Amino acid sequence: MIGPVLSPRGGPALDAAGRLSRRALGRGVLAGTVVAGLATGLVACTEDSPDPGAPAEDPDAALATEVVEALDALLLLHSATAAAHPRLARRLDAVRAAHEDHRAAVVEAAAAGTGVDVPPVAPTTGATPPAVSPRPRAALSAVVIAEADAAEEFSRLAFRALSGPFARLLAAMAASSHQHALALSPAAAGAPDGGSA
Amino acid sequence: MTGTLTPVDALQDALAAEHAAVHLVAFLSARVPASSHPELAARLRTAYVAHRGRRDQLVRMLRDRGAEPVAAFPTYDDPLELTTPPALAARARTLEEDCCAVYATAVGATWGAARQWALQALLESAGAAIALGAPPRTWPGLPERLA
Repeated sequence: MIGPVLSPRGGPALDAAGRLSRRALGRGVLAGTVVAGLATGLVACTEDSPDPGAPAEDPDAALATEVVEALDALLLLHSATAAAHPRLARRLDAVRAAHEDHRAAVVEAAAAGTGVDVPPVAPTTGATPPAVSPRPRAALSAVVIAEADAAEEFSRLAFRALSGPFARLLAAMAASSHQHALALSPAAAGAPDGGSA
Repeated sequence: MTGTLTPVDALQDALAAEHAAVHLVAFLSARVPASSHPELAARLRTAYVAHRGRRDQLVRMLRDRGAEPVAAFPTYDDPLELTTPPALAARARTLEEDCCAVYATAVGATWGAARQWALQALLESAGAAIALGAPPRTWPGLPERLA
């Protein structure tokens, strides 16, 4: 449930006809529908197909494939960086876990569509591991750059998505990569006075 | 797609959130002494400018679409119980994460220039949360996926 940013004075007492109450409810309902919509988002794009008897080419299928390819490249980079620099592995674990979750969500969404052939598991063999700098700081900088690039790429793909739920999913992935890039960058090493929750 | 939310509805929701955000960030900022907590004070000032700018942009976007922008409420429930900088910073982080949810929803409900704008706003809010000390999230803006 999305919490209100700030309630109007007397907010909890707002009745069902109150503007913010109605909007908060709308957002909550939206969140509920999107949980289902995330899995069916790609299907939704094909429901208006003129020929329901024939396999329709999902307009977002190519996007899903692009997303998974980008995620696989990121995962390879994370694995190679962690292998080359074990002291960085702990910092990168959470990022890697996030991208594995992203990949699973995209595969799930793609599986609900048609004409999508996305490997359900990230390839661990056969792919050429990316070169990793022998210097830890440079290696970490490469990861930061890759995350920033991923944020741009996922944003671009979210912009192109025809399915609203799929666009929302990709947008959140873009925001996640953006946050990881900022958090991993040396400039973000120090939290402000309050610190992390 | 995303339920029955129209692009104008999504932008109105975002505007309602930004009205509240402008008020809340001003409230938080006023309670953080710049002399003792200059970094947090500066980040709250930056956040205030960002929220005010997005509020004004949303007003223009809605008027361009022939809609009457929702007005701010005359008053809001201020979190008077928050008195320490860590607590004020935590509230600011929550605010930015709430804004991420509003903008992620707007991405799904819009297309074209409005979607591009919502994407940018989402990234800005996500970045602001990090600047205020929040940990990176796997799904910023998707509260239903929070563990």
